[in-house]
Amino acid sequence: MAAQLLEIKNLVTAFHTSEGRVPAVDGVSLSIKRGRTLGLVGESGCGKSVTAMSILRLVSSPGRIESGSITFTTESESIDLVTAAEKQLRKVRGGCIGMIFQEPMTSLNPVFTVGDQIAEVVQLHQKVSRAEARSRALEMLHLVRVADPEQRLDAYPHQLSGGMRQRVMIAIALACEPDLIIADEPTTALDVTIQAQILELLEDLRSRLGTATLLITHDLGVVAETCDDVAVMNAGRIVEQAPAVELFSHPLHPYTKGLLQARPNVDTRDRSPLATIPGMVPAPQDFPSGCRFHPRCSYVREPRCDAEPPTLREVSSGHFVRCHFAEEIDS
Amino acid sequence: MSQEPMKVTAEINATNPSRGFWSDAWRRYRRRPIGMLALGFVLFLTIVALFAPAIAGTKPVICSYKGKIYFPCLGYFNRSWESPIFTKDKFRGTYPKNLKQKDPESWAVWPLVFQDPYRRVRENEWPGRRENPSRDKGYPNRLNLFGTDQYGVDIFAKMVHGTTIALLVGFVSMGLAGSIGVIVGALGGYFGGWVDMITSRLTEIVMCVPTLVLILALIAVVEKPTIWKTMAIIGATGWTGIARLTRAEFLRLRQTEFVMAARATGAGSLRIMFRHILPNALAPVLVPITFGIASAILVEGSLSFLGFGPPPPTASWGSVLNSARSNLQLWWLVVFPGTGIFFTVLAYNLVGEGLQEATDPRLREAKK
Amino acid sequence: MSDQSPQANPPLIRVKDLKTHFPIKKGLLRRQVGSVKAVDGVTFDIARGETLGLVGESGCGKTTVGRSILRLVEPTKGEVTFDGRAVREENTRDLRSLRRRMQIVFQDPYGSLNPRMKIRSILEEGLILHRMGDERDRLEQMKQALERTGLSATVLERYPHEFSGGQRQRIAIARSLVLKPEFLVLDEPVSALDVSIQAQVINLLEELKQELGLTYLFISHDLSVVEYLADNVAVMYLGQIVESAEVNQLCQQPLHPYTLALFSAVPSVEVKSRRQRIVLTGDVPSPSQPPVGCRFHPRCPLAETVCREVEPPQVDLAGHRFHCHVASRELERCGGDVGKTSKAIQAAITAVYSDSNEPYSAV
Repeated sequence: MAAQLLEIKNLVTAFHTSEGRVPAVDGVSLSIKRGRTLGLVGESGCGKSVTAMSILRLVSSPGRIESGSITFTTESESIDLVTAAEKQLRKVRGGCIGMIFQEPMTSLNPVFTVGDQIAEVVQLHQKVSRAEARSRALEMLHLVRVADPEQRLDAYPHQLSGGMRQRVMIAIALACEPDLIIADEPTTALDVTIQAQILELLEDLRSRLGTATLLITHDLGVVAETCDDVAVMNAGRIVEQAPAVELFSHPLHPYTKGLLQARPNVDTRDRSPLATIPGMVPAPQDFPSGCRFHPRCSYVREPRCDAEPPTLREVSSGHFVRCHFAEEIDS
Repeated sequence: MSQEPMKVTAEINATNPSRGFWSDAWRRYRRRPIGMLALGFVLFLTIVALFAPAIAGTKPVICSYKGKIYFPCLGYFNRSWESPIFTKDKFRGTYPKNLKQKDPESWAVWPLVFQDPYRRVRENEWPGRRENPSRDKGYPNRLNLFGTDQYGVDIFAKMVHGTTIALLVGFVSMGLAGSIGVIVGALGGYFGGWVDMITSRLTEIVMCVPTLVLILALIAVVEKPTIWKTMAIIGATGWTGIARLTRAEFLRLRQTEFVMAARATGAGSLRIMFRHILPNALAPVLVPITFGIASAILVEGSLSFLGFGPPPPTASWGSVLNSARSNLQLWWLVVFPGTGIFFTVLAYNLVGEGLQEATDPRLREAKK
Repeated sequence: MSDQSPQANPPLIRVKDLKTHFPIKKGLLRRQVGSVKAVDGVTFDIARGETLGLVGESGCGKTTVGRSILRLVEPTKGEVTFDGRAVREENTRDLRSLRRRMQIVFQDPYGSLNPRMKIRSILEEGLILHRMGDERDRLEQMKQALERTGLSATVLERYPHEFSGGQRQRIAIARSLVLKPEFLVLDEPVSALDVSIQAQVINLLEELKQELGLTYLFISHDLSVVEYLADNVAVMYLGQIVESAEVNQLCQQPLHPYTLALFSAVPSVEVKSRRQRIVLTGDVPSPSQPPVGCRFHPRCPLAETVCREVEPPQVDLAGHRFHCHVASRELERCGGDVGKTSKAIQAAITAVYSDSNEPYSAV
């Protein structure tokens, strides 16, 4: 079995609005290996969610995947999800790639029981009877550690708490034993102790089932504790990518450094002002020329940073940075 | 990392001009060609209504008589606006001959079509013109563009002057309905409790009585049914949908944080209701008001058709339809007012739809 | 908690046994069948110039506490004193003048500004209502408030939707500052903002506090932010404060199992800051039917029989207060040494988890 499970090459997804073309994802390349967890981090508006939606072609108009390829390699074959036929894509969705969304209340259909919703996924992808699908749903509820699963099978989403709904979503995503799970901010809407439960569950499932995960979040702490590899996104582009241990101990891109320093931690208890990244996240219509981060960068050096957009290059083994002066800043 | 002054944040988006909610909504409305067409039609009707006496009438638009300038056509809007000198000089409403006879120096600018909405134009009233045909002979011809009714009164003139009524009916009745509905709904939605109970029950009671029956009953009670009273009655019975919608909006907006922030600043209930909540509640409420205008026009048309409208000689489209009832062979009595009502109601409905889309909150607030 | 000598430094805010219950009405006649006990007996003081951090998860009542103090939500019982004045007893007119001195900043930057009003009207409203100056004075005061929050006066003629979340929060802060208040309730003011913007706004809040001598009640579920800003911290669970102490004390030597779980649950980038993750079983229960005895017992790994029956009394150790049967017993055993007790509790919890199977998610 090939090690490379999902390979995104130069993905461009743009929205054609009345105000012009907005490139939410502007040339993103990522790869996820079988059984590994990749964290995709960035602030709001950076394009991480759109990237995730693009993988399963869930981006709705006026958004469109304009170019690039997303190669998904299963045991038998390799397909490009961007150009695949609708029928093939539907088989992949839910069958080979599962997705967990941020808001469990709105992602679950309020008029169907959770059992029905899990069973539906099974029936869509496997030729099984209703009874078999239902028993599989029960199995899934056991797997995600929902208490009283027999009763819960016939419960409606509004009867469950936020944490439990999220577990149901995970069950739906895992029902057909996919090779990859895309989790779009799965714990952002949850309380911190519930988040701990869900993260622990995801870790446990990963070790048991060997599913690869693409975890999208803005929370660096979550990424640090759960991901093998990390990619940092800013203004539609990946600006840094490295194994997690390497990235957090040795960040190279000024944006990554800034994000890490902006968090209050035990050492800043002396109340000295937090190190901030000045300015705001630019709107896609107002992306700066050259390096998209340069107006906010404290290491900026004219004229190169303004004139020339940097490329994503390998600075040390497995560690990629999109910055002209990464090495110099580091020393 | 440097500590740049935070002023940098505000300058970044100072480039675009500030757009309020309504100018933004207008921009979105403009993009729908059908909406613009409908709005254009409504505008066209408004112009016709305003300039009705100048388009069709037997009174001069402007004339010079005995050295002074007069605007006799305004008499169509209001009797008293027609200068008394013409009554004194015994014009008796006939201008062409009398003007020339009584003052050879006089000149006049005539309306585009010399016809009267209230009476039959007589033989030789306009030099060289025979009297208006009536009944079967009154089909559309060069002088009577839309034909005449069974009494010989020109339909085109009736339609033109009826436009004023068609528009007024909509605005007056919906203005009244809107005001009542908004106030009732706002009180119930904001205060809740027993106030809400009373207003809701009131709304339900009025809503449960069949509208047409209620209107007929009120008209029967009223002494002299004029067009204004009819409009008021339509308004007084048509506020319930608006009240319910306003109540729902107030209930929702009452919980928002900006309302709580206003309370934290020290604002009182009245201020919060009218300064904070109402501007936010208005957009969804305007839509049913627009549809209500269309509906009011239909109601007035129905009433007049059934014979319960204002008595003749009021010129309204519905009254022409009323004449058609007993004279169905005169097809022009049905076609022209029917088409007019149809297109007007259609136009208002399209404007309402366009308004609804332009102000839809889901398209508005895009979270960053 | 600084309440040693009341005469020397009377606290600006004094909350005693505050209870805010929301009735649940059912049936045709809307009869009260129960109540949501959002805040059920909360007591604390805040001295002038201090920041009290109030932490807890959803449903714990922290937001309601903030709003109850300002009477934006009417408390059911208890005392709230602001600068010696009994807030609950003020009539409408006096309350309005009191409102000038205590202000609030909300969590949602998108909902707390009226979308149909220009920023100018939003900021000016308070000044007009409290008759603070004529038009020119008001403009001057607004400009000053804006400047303090890092915005230029050009924002006055614009509408809220033209600004980003971080900018809107600054506007919301400016709105509260313009009335020159003494006390500010900050209800999760940075939770909805991006990390890089959070840092900016946090710095701003700290700066303003120093410059203007403000007193803050900082409500948040984000422990690291509270740790950074607060002088004292109170941890809330299901309408009650389970533990409160000076910030360093609480963070280094927490005693209540819930506090320990809360701190350990926060994912952290720094390996050294990571604590042994305690994963609680079950979900946050509903405030309409709080458990009998200690409210935390259904989820507590150390729950004993007494916890299921008797509400734990408060133990006050020189300002470090908590409510826990197990912790108070342990404290006695350790001879009053808070540090030792904290470690002992931590160890006890870890022991529970290492021999049990994976915990199920209960009701």
